Amino acid sequence: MKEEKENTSHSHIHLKNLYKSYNGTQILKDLNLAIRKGEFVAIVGKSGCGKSTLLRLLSGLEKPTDGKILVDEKELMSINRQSCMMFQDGRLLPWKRVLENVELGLKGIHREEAMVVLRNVGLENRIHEWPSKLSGGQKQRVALARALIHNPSLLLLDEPLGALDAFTRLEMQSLIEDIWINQRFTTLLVTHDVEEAVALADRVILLKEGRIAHNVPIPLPRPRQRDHSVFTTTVKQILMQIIDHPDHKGRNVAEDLNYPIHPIPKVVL
Amino acid sequence: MKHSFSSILSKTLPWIVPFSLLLLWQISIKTGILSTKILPAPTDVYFAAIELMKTGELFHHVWVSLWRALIGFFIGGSIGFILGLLNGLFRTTEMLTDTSVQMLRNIPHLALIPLVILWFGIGEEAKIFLVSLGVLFPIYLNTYHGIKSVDQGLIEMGRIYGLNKFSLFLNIIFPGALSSILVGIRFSLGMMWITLIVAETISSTSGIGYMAMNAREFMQMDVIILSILMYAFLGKLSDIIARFLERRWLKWHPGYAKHS
Repeated sequence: MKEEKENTSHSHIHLKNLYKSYNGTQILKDLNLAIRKGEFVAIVGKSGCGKSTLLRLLSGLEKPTDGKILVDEKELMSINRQSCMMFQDGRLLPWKRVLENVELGLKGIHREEAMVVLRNVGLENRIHEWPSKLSGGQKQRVALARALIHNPSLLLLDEPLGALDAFTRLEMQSLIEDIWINQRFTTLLVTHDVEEAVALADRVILLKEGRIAHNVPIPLPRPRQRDHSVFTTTVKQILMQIIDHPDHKGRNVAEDLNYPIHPIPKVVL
Repeated sequence: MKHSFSSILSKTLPWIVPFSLLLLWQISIKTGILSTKILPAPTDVYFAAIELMKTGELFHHVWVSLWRALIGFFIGGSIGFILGLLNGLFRTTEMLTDTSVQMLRNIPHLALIPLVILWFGIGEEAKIFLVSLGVLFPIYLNTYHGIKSVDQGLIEMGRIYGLNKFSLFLNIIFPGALSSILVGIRFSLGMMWITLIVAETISSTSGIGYMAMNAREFMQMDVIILSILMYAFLGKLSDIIARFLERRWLKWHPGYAKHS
């Protein structure tokens, strides 16, 4: 008991017996999870396993049916003001230019801050462009800049790279990783792409039918070598678990409710 | 060279058909193929216009019609816009009024002319009332629909980024509904002129419609055609204004952006 308390006492996000259902259908069932400040967690699973619902709960857009979400020990009751979210479809306002999109939600004019974040995502020379003129990857860069300008302590990424081509996706992955290494906000990435999850996250959580089925720490040094044997076997193992491969049937139990938090691996450049 | 030639061509091309028709018209009148009792020659219409401009009659009638159109458009448009906004934004007013508006919308407003004449006589009120009624529904419907069809994902994003209700409306809902609202404005500008033509033709002592009906009494074919042309001209003018607004306010929209 004491140990559990110690584990969660300095956690940033803490889910306690979290349930969510829509019209009688249970989406999330008894979720328990602690996420440490500055940790990068990826959530993978089949479509409809409740990944996106979990992010919506963390952003405060939805309320849990039962259970609690604690952010810095305080229960989340409304929109989570320290979180920013990035969606698969970017959700830029088409009637605002890049710069105005980035400044959305800020009080007053913040030209300098906006320029800094746009420079960080490599778009400082497209600031007066309409979103409709940008490519998919550039739109997501603007969306990322819009999130970063708020200095979020929690970044929620809802399949932000799902609609991008393979090359742009790799570019964006390393951009997100670089920015995260610099700023160390807690990050939750929901993704279909197991390789992306293993490449970016400190641990990968596998959701299955609304429950945490696996909780896999990825103690590989960064930036991660995708052709490294540990990398490829980890990806393969997680994939097997998602598709219920017979070899892994026996392990399909929520074994990790009191998951010990691993230290973030040292950055190796 | 090639570029300037194609640009001249693209500017002249749309005018070739109307000018040929006009020429054909003039020739068939002057050669007697078409009787002047059916149509006056284009030149006669032109001289009638010059004549009426000299007496000031043309400007007077056009001005009176324009004034009625604008007042009616303003009154009906404002009511339609505000009602559309309220019903698009608030569930309560929507439940309270939408059904009634939809019922009223299906009555052809020109069918009310006998009633309107009994209520207001043939004064200004009758015409302004009819124009207001005519423009109200297109603007109402398109404003309402525009607000209802704003991307929910954008509203959700706005909430996450801490926008309050007012700035959600200002930054997301209204700009999102604007293209639909402008369609309503364009549609109702057409409605405005149609209503005014009918109303002025039936009961009036001034305005373009009156000018046409008065000319009929004296068999002044040229003035009748001139009146019809005035309506066409004013209709086209309002369309140009509406297009200008679309280009200005929807310049972010790839479909409306000026082709360069």
